[in-house]
Amino acid sequence: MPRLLRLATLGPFLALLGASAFFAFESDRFLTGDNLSLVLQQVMVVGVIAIGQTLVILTAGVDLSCGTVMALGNIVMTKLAAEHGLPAPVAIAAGVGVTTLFGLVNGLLVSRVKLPPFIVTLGTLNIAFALTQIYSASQTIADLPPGLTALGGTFALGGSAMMYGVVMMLALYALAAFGLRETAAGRHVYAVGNDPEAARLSGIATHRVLLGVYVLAGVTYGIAALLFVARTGVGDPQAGQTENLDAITAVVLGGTSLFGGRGAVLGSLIGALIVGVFRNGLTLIGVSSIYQVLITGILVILAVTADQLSRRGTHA
Amino acid sequence: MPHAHPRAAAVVSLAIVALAIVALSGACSAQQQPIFGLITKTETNPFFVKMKEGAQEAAARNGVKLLTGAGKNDGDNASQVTAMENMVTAGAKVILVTVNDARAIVPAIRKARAKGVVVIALDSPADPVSATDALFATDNYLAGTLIGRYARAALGNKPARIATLDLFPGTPVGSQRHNGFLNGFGLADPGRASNQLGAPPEVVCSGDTYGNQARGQTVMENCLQKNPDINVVYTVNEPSAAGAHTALRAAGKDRDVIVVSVDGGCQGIRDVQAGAIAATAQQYPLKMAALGVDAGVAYLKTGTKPTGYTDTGVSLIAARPMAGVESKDVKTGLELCFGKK
Amino acid sequence: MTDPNERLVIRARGLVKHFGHVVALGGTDFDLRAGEILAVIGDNGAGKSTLIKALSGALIPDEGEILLDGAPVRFSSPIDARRQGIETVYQTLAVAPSMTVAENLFLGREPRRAGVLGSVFRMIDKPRMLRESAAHMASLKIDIGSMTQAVETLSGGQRQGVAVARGAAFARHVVIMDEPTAALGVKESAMVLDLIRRVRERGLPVVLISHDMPHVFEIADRIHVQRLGKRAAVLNPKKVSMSEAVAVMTGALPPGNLSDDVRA
Repeated sequence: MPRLLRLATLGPFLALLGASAFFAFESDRFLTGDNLSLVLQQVMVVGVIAIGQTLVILTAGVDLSCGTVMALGNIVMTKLAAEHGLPAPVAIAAGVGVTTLFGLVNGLLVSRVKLPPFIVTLGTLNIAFALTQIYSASQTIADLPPGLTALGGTFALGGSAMMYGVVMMLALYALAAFGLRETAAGRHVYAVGNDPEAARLSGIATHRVLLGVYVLAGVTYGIAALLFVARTGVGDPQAGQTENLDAITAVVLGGTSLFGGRGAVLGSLIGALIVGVFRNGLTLIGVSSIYQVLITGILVILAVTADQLSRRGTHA
Repeated sequence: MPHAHPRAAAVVSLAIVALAIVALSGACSAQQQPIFGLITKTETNPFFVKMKEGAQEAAARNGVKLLTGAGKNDGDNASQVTAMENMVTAGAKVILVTVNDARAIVPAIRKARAKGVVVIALDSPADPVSATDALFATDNYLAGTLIGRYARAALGNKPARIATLDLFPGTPVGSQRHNGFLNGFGLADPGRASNQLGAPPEVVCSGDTYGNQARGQTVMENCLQKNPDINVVYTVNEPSAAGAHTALRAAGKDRDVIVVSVDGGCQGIRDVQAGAIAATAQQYPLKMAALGVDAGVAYLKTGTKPTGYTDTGVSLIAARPMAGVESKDVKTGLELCFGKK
Repeated sequence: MTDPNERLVIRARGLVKHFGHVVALGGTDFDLRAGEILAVIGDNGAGKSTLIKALSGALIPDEGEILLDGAPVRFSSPIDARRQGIETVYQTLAVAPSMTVAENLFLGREPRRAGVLGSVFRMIDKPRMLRESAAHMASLKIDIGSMTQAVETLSGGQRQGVAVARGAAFARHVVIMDEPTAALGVKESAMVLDLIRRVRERGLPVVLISHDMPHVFEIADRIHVQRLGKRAAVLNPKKVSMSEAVAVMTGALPPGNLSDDVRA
């Protein structure tokens, strides 16, 4: 029966361990509690976006709008709180509501109108980006009320400071992993991604599953927006542009197949950590940041190749 | 029978359209307003909003019709090329452009100039600089030098441990500001013409921020892990400086570390006022646009094309003046800044 | 051999289905007796697949009635037919390759755990799924080692076994099998035919669509010949020859010319 780290995630986990070992060897500052806590904070936002992206990719779809929708969410919640004086919980709910709405639009176009996810989310990517720039007039929004940045607070854990937002990310991963593994709805996500016709013939309402994953993804982008605000302390219209591809990278590095139906959501956490560790580690040892980009690209190719090879091996 | 009607309708419509074109062009030639074009990097960045303001005001002053266009985001070359082609077709005589990609846009510029259109670069030079008729821009190297001098003076006699938060590899703006900073600080640098970032031993950590706040924060956090004793931070622009400040404050170091930046946007000047940034070099997009339009108007009047590089000026804005370094105060900075005041 | 007064599990009369100008079914009758394997044969365009789709709920006939165990039924969807006890084993098998045998068996009808874990947390009862899958496989003598293997690691015959086991496990009245041996080699086909016999032994009648005459003759109790949108004849495989059956199917032999003893 499935263990915590099944084969699909074992590879990425070993890669993470390997990278960490390398950086620990090269820099004595890498393995400190403070630094590791920092890496967790740095992957927090992409990590949560990757949860939603994993759900979508498991259905053999892709959501290219994830980062820009997150950005719109962060602008909506900060503008409403800082400039219109709405109480923090209301502003946050509005921000998450907007991102969920985008998820709903994506989901309806994919499940009902049957448009390809790549195209649909390419469109919503641009719409979200433009709306973000227009609504914020490309200005960052500062002077936020403490309610919005509360998750940026920290508590002491074994001598280092651990951010509440990181705990939220880990809790969301646990929730997602449970849902995907132990509930019928979660198994149906895999079935729809693996063989949509088989799922349909088995009585699974495939369009409802598809709609569900895009809507849930939208919710995660809203939560990621809140974590972004908590971490940076501002509403930033330039947010989310690198998170778009970073989230997909995290999912792919984590062993989830782009063809759908295979993978584990915890893999995406490992994938996000791999990118975060490289970014942090390379700076610590003084290597130019363009090499992070190079290494990430190589890792993605390796991950997709490994996925393909392992699939060929399982066919009888 | 079913086919005759559509064909007849088509002929009639074409005739109407042709008549309309002739009539309109006749009407247009009656009031011949010169047409200029302004193409900015993006539509909504306050820097370019200010630039557009300046251009529109100068155009109105001179009785010039201004067409505008922009890239979708920083780095979007294709949209700028399309905008330029469309403006040339529309009859623009002078086009002002802040290039997203210094090299990629050159063929489009050459095509426009071959048709007799004067192309003036604003803020960012094309590569080669001579690809455009003229350049009106901040001297980014000078901007870096001013803040470098300030940082050196503010640091005093302490040994420097510098972190540089750069833009991304291969941009003249990023390298000029970075190398200018080193120059002003009194360190060896590759010179204003180089696209390489100087790296003397006093620079203990560097990272690419892509000009945005979140990345600036990440780079600063990682640099502080590497070298907790960093005491000077050069940042390529004010959003990345804001990110650096968040990281410094989280580490409890915001009082001890000198952060300098470039831009002079209103948010940045407010950060100087609040003490998050020690000093910033302010640039003047409005002036760039106004001077560019005036040069274009002069060309139409006299027939002499504008040439060469015109420095549109940069001022050092600091909350606390340092001896031996000329600077303007925050109040002046706020009057002249771009963005929401 | 079979008593004409035996209980009819399915009785359909006068089924009509048009697709635009094309008449797919022009008044087809259909009878399925309890405990039998009824093969349905017919050339392309005879209305064979349309008939089966009408019986499995995949389409709704324009006219005609279907009686299931004597009661009239209308199927609005395949899921509806399933709910009323008719399971279909599709030609494509409808299994999710990367999921396990147990998961596929229960796909779309996963059992939930008892108590709070099931109702609030909506947890699937995995131990029960494993137990019951193993039991179903054992009762049909399907040789699959582990219920937690991914279906894609199984051979073609084993995969067919999973699909058939699923149909047999959940069917209450009928199992419809669409070309079950089409993609299989000799040994695996023999395995599947055995399996179909065991389903019948469980008391479930089987409707078998097949192009493979030798297999049809080996296993069917009666043969329904579909031709030109109607039921041309119902034959007794023990009495009629294969070539005669094919001739009726293609129209070379008018059904009226058949002797009574080959009918069933």
